[in-house]
Amino acid sequence: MTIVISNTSPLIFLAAASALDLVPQVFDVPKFYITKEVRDEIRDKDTSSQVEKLIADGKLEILPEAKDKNLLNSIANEIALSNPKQDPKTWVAAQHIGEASVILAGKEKGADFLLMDDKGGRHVARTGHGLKCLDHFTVIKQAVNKSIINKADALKCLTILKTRYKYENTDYYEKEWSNG
Amino acid sequence: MADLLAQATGGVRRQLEPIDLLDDTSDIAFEEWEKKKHYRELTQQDIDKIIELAVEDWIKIILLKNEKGIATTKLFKELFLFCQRTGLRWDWSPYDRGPYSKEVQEGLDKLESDKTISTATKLSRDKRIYKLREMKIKTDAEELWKILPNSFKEVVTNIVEEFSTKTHEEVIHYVYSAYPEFAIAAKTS
Repeated sequence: MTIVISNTSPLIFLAAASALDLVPQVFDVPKFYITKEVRDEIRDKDTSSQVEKLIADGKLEILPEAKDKNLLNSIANEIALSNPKQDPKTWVAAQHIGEASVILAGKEKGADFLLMDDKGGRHVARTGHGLKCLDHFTVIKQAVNKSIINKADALKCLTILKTRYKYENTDYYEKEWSNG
Repeated sequence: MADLLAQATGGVRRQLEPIDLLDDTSDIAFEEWEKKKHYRELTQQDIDKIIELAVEDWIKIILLKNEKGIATTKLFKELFLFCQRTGLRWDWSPYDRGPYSKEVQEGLDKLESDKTISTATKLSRDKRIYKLREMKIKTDAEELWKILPNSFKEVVTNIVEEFSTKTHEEVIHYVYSAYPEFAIAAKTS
């Protein structure tokens, strides 16, 4: 059974593009997971209502809160410190509790993939804990590759997301998907 | 959207770094996972055919399909991917240049000492190029190839083809992206 655990920002961005439903389809699983800490971070009404719908449909399950708070905080510190631009005087490990909870749950459950956008979080998950990570946009790219959505729909997602999120090298996909 | 992230992290404004859409790390991880899922579906009949083959036989098969010779890093990575995609259980561990297997190293040493393979030293970071030595040895390797189940032939052919145009750095990037658990002892990632 494939296990996919998502952090907060992939939920927010995929919900903004009305693409949250793609997650179970891309991974070919009946459901995916978030942690209790991630659930607590979702305060935006639109994301929250889409998340609740997935839970009600049995496509999303919430994992219990991390028991080992020391380990959780230690992973959050690792993430905060992994960013070379981070000023040690201002870093706030608490900002990374969501990512840390996902990494911890990923290790405990032997997750196949973590959905995570934060570069520091992905770096720590990969090189420190040997976990595979995908960012939210890879879900859309792979949905096209697997013919779950067509290129025109993917381009709509990119157009919506581009106004709200920073991407580099969008030209390639704008060109590639406008021919679909 | 930035405000939503700020709300999500307890009111502290957090700036996520941009995602580079041409960064293929996530795509490699996903696509290799799919390949692995596909190739894992082997029949017992297939397994029975290959159970007797030793590590040295698999090395010969990989060398047969890399006719022009293959550098150390690429050879180890091709054998590693082969094990991952077919479920062959050799002992691989994370090392400073990716997955390493003592069994493969010993197999290579054995084949070198009994003159089955030849090695040439290059002035590059990869240092050695391995090749099957003589026509008779190539014929023996061809015989091994013939008994392989088609699903295994497909795995070998695909891996050799996928890696044929990849540079040393690209090979390492591929393996580290697809199997980050083997990158934890890496000097570079």
